[in-house]
Amino acid sequence: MNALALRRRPLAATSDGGAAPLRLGTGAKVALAVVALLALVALLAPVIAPYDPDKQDLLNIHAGPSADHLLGTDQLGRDILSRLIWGARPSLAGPLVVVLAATAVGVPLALAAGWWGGAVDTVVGRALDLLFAFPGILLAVLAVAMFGSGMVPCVIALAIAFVPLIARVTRSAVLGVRGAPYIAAAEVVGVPTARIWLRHLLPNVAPIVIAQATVAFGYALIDLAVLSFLGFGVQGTTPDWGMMVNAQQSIVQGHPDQAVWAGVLIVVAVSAVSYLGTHLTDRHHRDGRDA
Amino acid sequence: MSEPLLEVRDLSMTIGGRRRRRTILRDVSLRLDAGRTLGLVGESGSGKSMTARSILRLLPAGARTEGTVRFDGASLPDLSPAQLRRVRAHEIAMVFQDPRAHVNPVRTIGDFLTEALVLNDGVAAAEARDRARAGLADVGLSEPDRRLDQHPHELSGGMLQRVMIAAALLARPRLLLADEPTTALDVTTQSEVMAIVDELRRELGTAMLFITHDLELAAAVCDELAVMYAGEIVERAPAAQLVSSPRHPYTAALLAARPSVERRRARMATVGGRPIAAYEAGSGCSFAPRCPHAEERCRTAQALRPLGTAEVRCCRAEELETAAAERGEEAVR
Amino acid sequence: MTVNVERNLSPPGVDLGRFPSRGRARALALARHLGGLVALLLASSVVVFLSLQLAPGSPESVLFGQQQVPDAVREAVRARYHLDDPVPLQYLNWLAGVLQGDFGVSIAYQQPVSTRIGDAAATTVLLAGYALVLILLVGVGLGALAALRPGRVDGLVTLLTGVAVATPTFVAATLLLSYFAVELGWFPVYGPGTGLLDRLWHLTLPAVALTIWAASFVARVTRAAMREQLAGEHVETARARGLAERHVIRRHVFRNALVPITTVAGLQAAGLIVGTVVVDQIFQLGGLGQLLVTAVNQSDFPMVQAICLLLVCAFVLVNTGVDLLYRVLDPRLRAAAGARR
Repeated sequence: MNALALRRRPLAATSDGGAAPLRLGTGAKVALAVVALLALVALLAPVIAPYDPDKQDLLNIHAGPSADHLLGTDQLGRDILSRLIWGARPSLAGPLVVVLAATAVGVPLALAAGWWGGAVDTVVGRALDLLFAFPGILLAVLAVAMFGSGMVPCVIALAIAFVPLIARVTRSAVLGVRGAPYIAAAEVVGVPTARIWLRHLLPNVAPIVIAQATVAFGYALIDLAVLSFLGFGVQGTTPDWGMMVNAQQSIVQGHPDQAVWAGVLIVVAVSAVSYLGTHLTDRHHRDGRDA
Repeated sequence: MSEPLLEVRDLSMTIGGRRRRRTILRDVSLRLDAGRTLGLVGESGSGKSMTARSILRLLPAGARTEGTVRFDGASLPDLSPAQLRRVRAHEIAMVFQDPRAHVNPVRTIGDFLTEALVLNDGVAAAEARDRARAGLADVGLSEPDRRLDQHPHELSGGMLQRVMIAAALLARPRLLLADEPTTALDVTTQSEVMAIVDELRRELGTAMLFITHDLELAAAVCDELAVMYAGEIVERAPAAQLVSSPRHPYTAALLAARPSVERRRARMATVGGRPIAAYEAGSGCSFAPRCPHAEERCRTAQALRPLGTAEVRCCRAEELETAAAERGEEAVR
Repeated sequence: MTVNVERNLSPPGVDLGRFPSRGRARALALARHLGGLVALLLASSVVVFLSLQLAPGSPESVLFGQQQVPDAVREAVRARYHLDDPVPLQYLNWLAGVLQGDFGVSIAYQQPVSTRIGDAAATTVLLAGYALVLILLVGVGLGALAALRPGRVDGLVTLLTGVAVATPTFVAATLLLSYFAVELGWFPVYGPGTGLLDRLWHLTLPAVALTIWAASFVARVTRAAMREQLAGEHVETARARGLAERHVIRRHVFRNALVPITTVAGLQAAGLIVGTVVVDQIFQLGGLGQLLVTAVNQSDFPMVQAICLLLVCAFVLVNTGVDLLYRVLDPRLRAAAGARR
């Protein structure tokens, strides 16, 4: 096997902007469909939600499922289904922003650390170690203590906490590609570093970064839901799934419906995303071995 | 003739699920007397390793065997698990090809050597350690005392293989199954390790089934040789005879393919085609597709039949033998 | 019985089995490790301290809000919280106090932080310990069962852990609370309980909530690790030597699988530290988690600092502990670490 062929393959698969067909197993296709469906629900919330999620009906609280309210109503008589549908927006957009931001910061750091090595690598490595010492949720709690509750401090804090998660994997991927003959060749011929990064390095580490980001999305979804659940995240009447699980009063009174449904949605979303992430990671490793 | 120590008759083995069963061994028959050595020679995939493993019943998942394996008169496939463990613990020991993988990496050498003594025979820890130390000295390891506390990764491959040999012989077995014990070692270490195995084996009077792809090495170490191809034995003969006058075309081809100092050639002879696995073989002679002498009748099943002091699985063995003899005379003239 | 062959395999001076000053190299590596640990803890403390120092809104504004206060009182408060000192000095004072167990005075309770934290920490440690025991027992037990009983048992365990591994702790806790405490009334809904037995009783449902996700994770890794070892060549050697199956499993399969199992179990133990915050809040156990959430809502900065520092330190220490345990379990890593440094 020659190393050139081995490293070129993922390059070919990604450099034409995702035009290459995505070969996925059945399980991964189902997972992808679930994610797509949830995303669609979030996008179309105004169209498909039967009620205004904030409209209270105090004469009809804790109603069971009926033709009017498919999943019943909550402690203020609000339609649970509508709240779940609208809740998809912050529940999915939050982790998306976290992961995009963490990737935008983590990947350049990792490229620099892996490419130049030496002092750069040491400094970046130490900084990542320090960040890694802080569980993401704790960092977010600190941020909330500093700036007050809200989605923004939580998302920023989690994005920072997730940087090492992305950067570590990327760095080792960069180290793997760094020594490849065609990179050395490009350097010898005097191709500018920026060009090598864009043309060779990035496309080659992209698959593993995407896989890791997918896995991280699942974690971010859970962490943000936990923060909302604790009352630090989404504020006001805008529902999100984590906040909906926190229905202590109703639960104690024997009406766990909205908490259960929101919990189920979180479980479904997380399992779909993490299945996809694991699948992508496995496939990447398998490709690396087979080639 | 007295009862042999090990007798394998018509041993067949298949593996795989219900749908696709694959043949691994076909009618393998062997006999080995106490204190003697038999070399089992063949290319990788010929089934020699599986033969040794099926003697000890170390079978892969889903394997099924037929035929008899008798050790000292007892039928090994019919033993209860407890009886089988006793045979493995005291009667038959095995040395594997890759000591790096076959010795537990997280335990000390001392642990590895003494565990069988302590757990199987209830030997006291201190005495087991003394015996382990003596065993290491026997296989020629320096500083045996320090080795006992080391871990496998601190030893070279050759040293580790000596450890495995010491472990195998600590139980004073009557039969040693040596599965390519020197293949994973570098060339200079190979001969040392082989010398140790052979010398200790002689002193203890242990019989050995020596498995290798190296025909010459086998001939140097063993009394008798059996050549395997595609899961069956194609020729069996006393070692010197098999090397000097092979009866089976495959054996002849193997001998021609080895590098030799005496016969210098522009290019080394090779056996044409690729070796096939047992499950790929048809009903006729399994070597026929690659055999330069194959003819119509080779398409029928071949039996292992006596020919002089040898046994051979080839219907043209006599003709080929005569032809070879004539060519030899011409060469002399 | 002697053998007539060249005894010494290696050329003189290149004895493969010997690292001349291995003991010292190992001690040096350990020292470096500990040095790194101390540096990491110090850096964490700086982050915790500074983040709240830089926060908009001072402790006075929290205490007094919009009301007018005489300057003398204001001065006294500023002095009490050392607010007029330069920031590095404030940090050093705070750190010196922390090292002596003095975390300052809680703004909300007007009591030393340490008096509040003591009880809460005891509850949290008890809960985490309880959960860890359950996680190890259930996780390793189920994983081993699945590895040793292929077929139906394995399939069932894989299915169960597959669902559980996607269930976040707070969802599990909520569902458990709603079903076992409210619906069936088998367990208490709120509170930490009094006396050890009653306390364990109150902590059972929270501990189970913490166990579900983590134990599934441990079970999956245990199963995979034991499967891998079962197929290993060294296990074949052990069987070939006639060792009883229970010895083979214990000494060669389980012992070797412990290396990956320890890693995940360690990760889970570290994860428990955050997990307890959530569960504590749900079941109102009065542990560090509940205290932290309350303190954040009250902007009780000294309290938040103290709890965050404790949790981060616990997290770092658990991770370091696992790292060290890992080296004990796998001798190959010990050598690699010694050789690299």
